[in-house]
Parts: sequence; structure tokens; C-alpha cells
Amino acid sequence: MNRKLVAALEDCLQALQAGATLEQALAEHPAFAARLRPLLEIAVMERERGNAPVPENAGTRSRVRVLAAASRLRGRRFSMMDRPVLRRLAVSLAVAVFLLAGGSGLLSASATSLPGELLYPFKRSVEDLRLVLTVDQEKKVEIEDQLYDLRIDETDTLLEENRVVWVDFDGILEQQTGSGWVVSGIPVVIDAQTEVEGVLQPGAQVEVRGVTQTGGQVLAERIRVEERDQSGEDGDPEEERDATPEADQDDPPDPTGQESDRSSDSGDDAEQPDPTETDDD
Amino acid sequence: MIAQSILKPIFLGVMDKSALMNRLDPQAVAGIFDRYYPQVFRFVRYRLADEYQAEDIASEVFVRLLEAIQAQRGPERNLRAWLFSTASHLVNDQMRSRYRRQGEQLRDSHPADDPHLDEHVQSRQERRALAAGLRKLTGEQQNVLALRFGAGFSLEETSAIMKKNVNSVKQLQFRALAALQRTLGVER
Repeated sequence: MNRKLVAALEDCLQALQAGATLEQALAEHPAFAARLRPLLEIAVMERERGNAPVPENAGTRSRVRVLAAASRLRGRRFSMMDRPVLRRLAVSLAVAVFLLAGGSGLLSASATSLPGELLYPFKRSVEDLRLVLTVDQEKKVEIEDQLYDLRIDETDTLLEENRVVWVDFDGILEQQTGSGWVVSGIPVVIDAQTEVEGVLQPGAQVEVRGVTQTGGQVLAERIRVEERDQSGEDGDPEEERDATPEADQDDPPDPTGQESDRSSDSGDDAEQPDPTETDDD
Repeated sequence: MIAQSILKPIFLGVMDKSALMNRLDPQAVAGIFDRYYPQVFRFVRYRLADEYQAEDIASEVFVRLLEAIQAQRGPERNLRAWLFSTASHLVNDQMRSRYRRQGEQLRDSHPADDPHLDEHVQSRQERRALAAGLRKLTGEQQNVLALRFGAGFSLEETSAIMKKNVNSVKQLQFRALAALQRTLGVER
């Protein structure tokens, strides 16, 4: 093979890449112009074919798939909603022991941590503990509401800082968008791979698990409608207790914790559902 | 930023697999994905001329990377070369499965379904001819064109990924274009 011809082809390709026209590129190698011209014409077409932009949706879908695979491979559960209650209580107990041993500095340092940061699991465990130790039901609901707001604020901050992190939060479906929903002010994208539980409709309370995206949205891996207990928070706690069969106290807690979470006004501490099942790593 | 300092050696194409294993947090994986996915996607799309299959295969390349690292058999030195080698294998598998499907028409017409490609190629007939012509080349010839014109790599980058010297890549791309010219019947 003629090495000069081969080298001339590369020269011309580089010239075209730099913005030269076909004629300008060939002018540098007049001796090979006739041989190179058809090859360069094909090269130009092939480069145009290859330069087509990557569809944004394709990249987004692939990103979720890869991040989910990474999470799976690390042995993480995608959703902390399935985490065993006993394990979480054990973590809380460990935190209690730690605090008693003088971990207040760490406590204050973790207060402003965000998902994905080193101290964040500690922060969530402290929250767990706080809820477990709160006996008064009204106070417990108040704390839960504060924590729901905090999860939203954390997610907002992550989106503002363009971080890519797994998050989970509870919120209200406010408005449907072209790509998903706005959940308590957070744009949530739902795609074909999103696991949807329940019927999504405005006003529904949902639990969202997903990954923050640099575009200011959360790409949902899972979104679940929380079914409110019909006898729930609007009812009279005393009536509630009276109406509850004693046998219920021996029932295992609801694995999802959702209904009992909102309606458990019986005051029976031994049977309290895990109030923070939406915890994160 | 810590993440940047962690990912810097990966971006350079040199990495320590045990270190990367420790970095399989979402931020690190997203960094690798964002850095390489567009090129991998373009490489695969160029070879298959099918955006849907390109999406599947390109994401599969990254899933295979994570699985390989977890199994302690990930790339030792050159992450980029590993990614494109894996992509090439997956494309070849896909092509073989296409041919096995008896009676099924090859999807040469798929580029016509892609609005982005429509903007860049002059005519549907040309696209079909180019995509069909590309399949008649050898695997290496397809790869060199896909790396140069699909993924947009320089001669030197292509050389590193294909693990060939620069002169060999020059000759290979010359042969590839000449072969494509012959298959298109436009030899002058």
C-alpha cells in the first residue's frame, strides 16, 4: 500500500475535522486528489452520520439503569422501605449508646449533612431514635411532618448543587408534567423503568425513591401512593382505641408501615410501627 | 472537589480496579457514565444504525463494567479501551443474532426512523447504502470507522483503543473507506 497515499488521507481527514472544505483539503495533496476524493466524500457522509446527537431520553434511561446496577452490586437495597424494623431499631440503639458516650460533636456536625455524605446515615439514625423515644402521638406526628419537610429541603439542595445521589422523600402529587409529576415542589421524572405502585392523581400522597439529576429533577426508580387509613388522623384517638380489637395488638406491624404510621393513635408503644421506614443510607 | 480528584485518573484512562470498586457510589459511577456514555452510544449506533439497540447495548456496556469490577476482572489499565472492546463484542453478538433471525428483514431502514439522522444525511437512500455497506466490511474495519466517525476519536486515541500503532490504524482506515467505496459502487 502506498504509504504516502495513506498518510495523505489522514492529513485530509484532519483538515476536514478542523473545518476545511473538501477542495481545500485535497489542494494540499494534488497528486492524490483523484484517488482521495471519493474516499473523503464517504468520510464526510460517515462523519455526519456519526455526529448525530445522543437522544437525551436514551442517556437518561441508560443512566438510571447503570446507577441501579451499581446500587444492586453494592448489595444495597433500592428501597429502605423494605428494611427490617429490628435492624433499624438496632441502629438507633447503637446511636443512643454512642450519644450517651459523648457523641454530641458528631451529632451537631451531622445535622446539616445531605444524602450521599458520610454523616448522613448517622443523622437519619438520630432521627429514628428521636421518633422511637417520642411517646406522645401528637408530638410524634409533628416530628414526622418536620422530617418530611426536611427530606424535601435536602432534595432541593441536592438539585441546586447538581449532585447525583439516591434520595427518598414523601410528598404530595401537585401537578402532572410532560415527563412525570411535581411532588411537593420537586420535579420527578417517571420513565418506563420506574416502578409505580398505586394510581397517581393530584393530591395523592406518595413515597418517592430516585436519583437526583443534574437537570434539576429526580428520576424516580420507585413511586408509591400511600393509602391513608380511613380511620386515620382525622378520627378521635380515644374512639380509635376503643374500636380497635385487642387482638390487633398481637398482629405484626404492617411491613410497609404506611397505614399504621398515620393512624397509630392507640398509645401502645410496644406495637408502634416503625415510623421512619423511608430512611436512606 | 474530592469526586474530581478521585475520577481524574479514570478519565485519563488509567485506573486501579480495586480502587474503582470502592468508588461504586452513585456519584462516581455517574461520573464515569457521563464521561464515556455519549461516545459509546455513538460508536454502537454507528455500527448498528439503530438508536434503540444502541441505547440498550451502550448501557449494557456499563453494567458489564460494574459486574466485571465486582468480579475482580475489570480493566487493569485502560478503561476506555475496555469499554469499546466490550461494546464491539456486544455489537458483534447483536449482528449475529440479527442474521440468525431467518426471514426477518435487516433493519437497514432504521436510520430513516431517526429524526436526528435525518438532519445530517442527505438522503434516505444514501443512509441505507452506507449502513448496508458498512456491514460488509470486516469487524476491524467497521470498528476503525466507528471510532473515528462515530465516537469521534482522533487517530492517536483510536490507536490506543484498538491497541495498534498509528500507522496500522491509518492503513486500516484507508482500507475500510476503500472497501466501503467499493461496496457502494462509487469507485471512480
